[in-house]
Amino acid sequence: MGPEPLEDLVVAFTRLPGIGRKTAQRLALYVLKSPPQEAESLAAAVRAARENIGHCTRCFHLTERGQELCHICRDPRRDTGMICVVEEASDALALERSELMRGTYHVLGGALSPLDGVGPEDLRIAELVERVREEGIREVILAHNASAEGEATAEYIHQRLDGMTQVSRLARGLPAGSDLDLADRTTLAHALQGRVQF
Amino acid sequence: MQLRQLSLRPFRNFARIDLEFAEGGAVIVGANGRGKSNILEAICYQSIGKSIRGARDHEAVPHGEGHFDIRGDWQQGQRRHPCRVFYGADDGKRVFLDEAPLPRVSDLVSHFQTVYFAPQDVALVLQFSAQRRRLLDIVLSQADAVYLKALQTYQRLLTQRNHFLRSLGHRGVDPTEREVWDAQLAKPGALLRHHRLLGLVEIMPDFARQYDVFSTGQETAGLLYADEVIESNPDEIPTRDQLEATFRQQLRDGFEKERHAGHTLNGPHRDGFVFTIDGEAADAFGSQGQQKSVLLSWKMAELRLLERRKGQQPLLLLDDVFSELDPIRSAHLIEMVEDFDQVILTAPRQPQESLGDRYARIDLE
Ligand SMILES: [Zn+2]
Repeated sequence: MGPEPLEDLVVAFTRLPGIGRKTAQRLALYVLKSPPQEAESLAAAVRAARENIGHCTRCFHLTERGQELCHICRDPRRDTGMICVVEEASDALALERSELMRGTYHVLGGALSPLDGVGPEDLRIAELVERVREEGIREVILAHNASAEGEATAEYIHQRLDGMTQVSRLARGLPAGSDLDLADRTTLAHALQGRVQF
Repeated sequence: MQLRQLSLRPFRNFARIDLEFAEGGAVIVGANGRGKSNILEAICYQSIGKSIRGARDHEAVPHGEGHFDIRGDWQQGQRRHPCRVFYGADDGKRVFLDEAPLPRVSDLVSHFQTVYFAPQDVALVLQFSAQRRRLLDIVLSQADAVYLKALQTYQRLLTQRNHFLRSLGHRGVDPTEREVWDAQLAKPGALLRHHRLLGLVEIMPDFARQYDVFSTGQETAGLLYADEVIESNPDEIPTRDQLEATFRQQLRDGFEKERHAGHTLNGPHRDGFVFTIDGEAADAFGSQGQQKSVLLSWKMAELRLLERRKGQQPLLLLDDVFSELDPIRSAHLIEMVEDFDQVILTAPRQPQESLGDRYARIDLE
């Protein structure tokens, strides 16, 4: 246990996903050792990102402040008849990196999890149903994580969209329990190409 | 399959100890309190990734230490497989096989099979339904990694469904959401029930035969699962699809009751599993001696099941059996394990029973 401001910084890092106490300590000590302007620019970058990034009003992916639609929804070359449903923006980023998706996205903002108090009304499912109804969507691809909650969410959306459009899901090339945003390009390509109709 | 070396640095009462095991096995001799059982518990950690006694990981960390570290060296045919189970208060539990980290502790479970018998906790093991189900879960997980995976998924979904039931107090039922949680729970639930039925049917003949030896044919031992008598050669076992449909129906029928209770009352986590002697529940009606025979017969049958399923013999661990079993049962036991690949047993002093020379003696100071 160090001086209090150091401890505060360590705790702040621990709250970040995937950061354990040891790593948090290493990061905090690194920040303290680095030149003041480096720490300053880190703080500024965090603040700027927080202030200048918002959500796309159509797909809820990340967008720059002042832009109603994200760069994907604005891109005329995109296939607007196809929606890939993901849990988090990070999943959309992973699929974008793979350059495999020609359609648009829909970011749910999580997965069903009563344990965490998350029900269907806490996710952007009603908005998805609305989009499918309004935008003449041919196909919805469910790209959920291979977790119990991801499966339940996919099943729920499938039932809600039943009869409205074609619903498919990624082939289970993803190792069970794994997160989409950590999968490599080859795995994603297989999962996408081999997608199966519900 | 054999365990050839074990190093504890530290684990429970051992700050540091290195043990070598002969091919046939060992008898670990030490007065009570020297930690004989702890060694067997450490060996089980290498097999099932957790405490066979049901202890929490932190309880195995010695006072004043921040971690425990168990290293084993296992032999399968000509190959050696180093295995390490590490637990740190800060880092949690981590497992290494052949020097490489495994993504999940549960990935270790199907590699090194063990069968552990400790007659001193027979009453505890047989008395509670949850403990008997745990016996079943441990052996079936070792027999097939699919079972363990389904068990973990099931437990996760059960927690979710229970929270869903409790959330209904302050919101209306979304019938689609209800359907979804039922359907998700029923999939792994049906797999667990199917594996349990198949496993019990397979175990039944060995179990009955072993018990027959111990009771010298005077009594008949049996098994009940979910109120059904397990037969050695049933006409048919329901398919997984049938079990899934049945489970879905149970969840539908029990919904109002479960909603009221705030948790799931039906499912493999509640199914009764009972040992019987001449048709009566062994936990309620059996004597201590009968209960020991029941559990020991079950363990011998476990060993045969694992041997058939995995194509190699599990390591048999016998904790202080001779103090707890009468001479006749002890003699039967020694005879039974004669042809086993490797047996490690503990005793407070050199056993009176003639063990033969296959057991190298290890003295705990
Ligand atoms: Zn968008």
